Amino acid sequence: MSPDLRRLVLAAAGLFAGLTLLLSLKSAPGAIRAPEQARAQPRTPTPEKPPTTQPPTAEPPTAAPGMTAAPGVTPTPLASPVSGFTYTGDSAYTEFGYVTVQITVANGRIIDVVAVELPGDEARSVTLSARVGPILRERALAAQGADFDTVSGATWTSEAYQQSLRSALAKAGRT
Amino acid sequence: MGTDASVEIVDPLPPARVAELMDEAFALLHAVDARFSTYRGDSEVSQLNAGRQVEVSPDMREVLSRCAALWNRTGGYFDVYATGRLDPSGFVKGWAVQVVSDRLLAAGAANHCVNAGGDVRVRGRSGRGEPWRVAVRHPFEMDQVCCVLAGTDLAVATSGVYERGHHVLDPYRGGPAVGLRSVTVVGPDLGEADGLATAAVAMGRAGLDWLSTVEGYASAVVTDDGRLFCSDDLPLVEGDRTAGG
Repeated sequence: MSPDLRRLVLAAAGLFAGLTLLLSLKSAPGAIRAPEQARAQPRTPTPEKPPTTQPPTAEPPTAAPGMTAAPGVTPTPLASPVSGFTYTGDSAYTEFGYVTVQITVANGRIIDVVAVELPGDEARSVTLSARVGPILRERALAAQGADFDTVSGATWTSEAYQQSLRSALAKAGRT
Repeated sequence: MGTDASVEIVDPLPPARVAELMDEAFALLHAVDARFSTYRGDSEVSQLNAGRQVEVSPDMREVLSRCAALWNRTGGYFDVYATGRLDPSGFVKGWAVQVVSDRLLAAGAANHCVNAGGDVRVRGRSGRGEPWRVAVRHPFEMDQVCCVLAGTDLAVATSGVYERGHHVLDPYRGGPAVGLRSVTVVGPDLGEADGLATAAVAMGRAGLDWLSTVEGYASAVVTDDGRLFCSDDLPLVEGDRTAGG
């Protein structure tokens, strides 16, 4: 690496180290895992379990189409085809779904900050065995007029009601 | 469990016998609630969670054993410890209804429908002499159904998220699962179907592909963005005909 390019990379790393603290978003309070002896079965092929704090993922330098400069930052022309490094922070849960923040750094400057919503199937992988069942096919979702004897559905009001009732009882000192 | 339950027996047994079977069925459901409800401080599961010395009942052993097997089968997405305390309710409701149905069958009531909190086990035929029709609640239009299944030997379990503030936990992210609004699993055992449906919701969109790999169980899935997916072997009623198995 030429001396100039090496200084660029070091500067970006230094800049990012400070930004990691600034931009690291805590995910929703993690579940406290029960002691391991409670699990009788060894794990068979497991899905990838992501670490709770994700290290920054620096993607290989590629042109990033549509990249816009942050206000007040003038992008300087780059000597090489490198356009910038993208770093992704931790996921945070919001009412709209999981959100992560990505920053793009070039020439030691942040040139883009984007909040992206990760689709559910990208945040982690589920180990799939060879497909043996029929594929689920899409159909129209519509209210059906057919008659029926009984209904299957997820419980909703009863659980929310129970939780609310329990907390009300606890507040009234009657757990 | 805090849920509504209904039992319908169609067999032309003597009324006193039917009343007896009904009493036994509800007694069993009450007993399961007393043992497994996390909302009750005196339940066996609550005592286990509080670390109080308690003799583990055969039913508790059975449930924990089944839940461990489900944990394996679902790659850890069915996890009774996901909240930090033991909570097997994603399996217990279906399991209890399955036991009720098995006992009714053994007692000579081969035509019945048992529904507790939306977990359904049907056997034989309804009062109209036709295979039982089990509808699936529409996950967006609360007083509608989105598909109807028919069968003479079916377990139907639905897991999902209809309300704000109500979550199925993703045990890996430690937060609410997103992506699937409702998962219905159909097959021979209701406890298993209950656990599989719960796990699929916890997986999010990845659950849609995973369900197609599950042997012996068919499914219907509605995603958060309102799309319905059904496996080919789901026993759907279409018009006046039953499609598939």
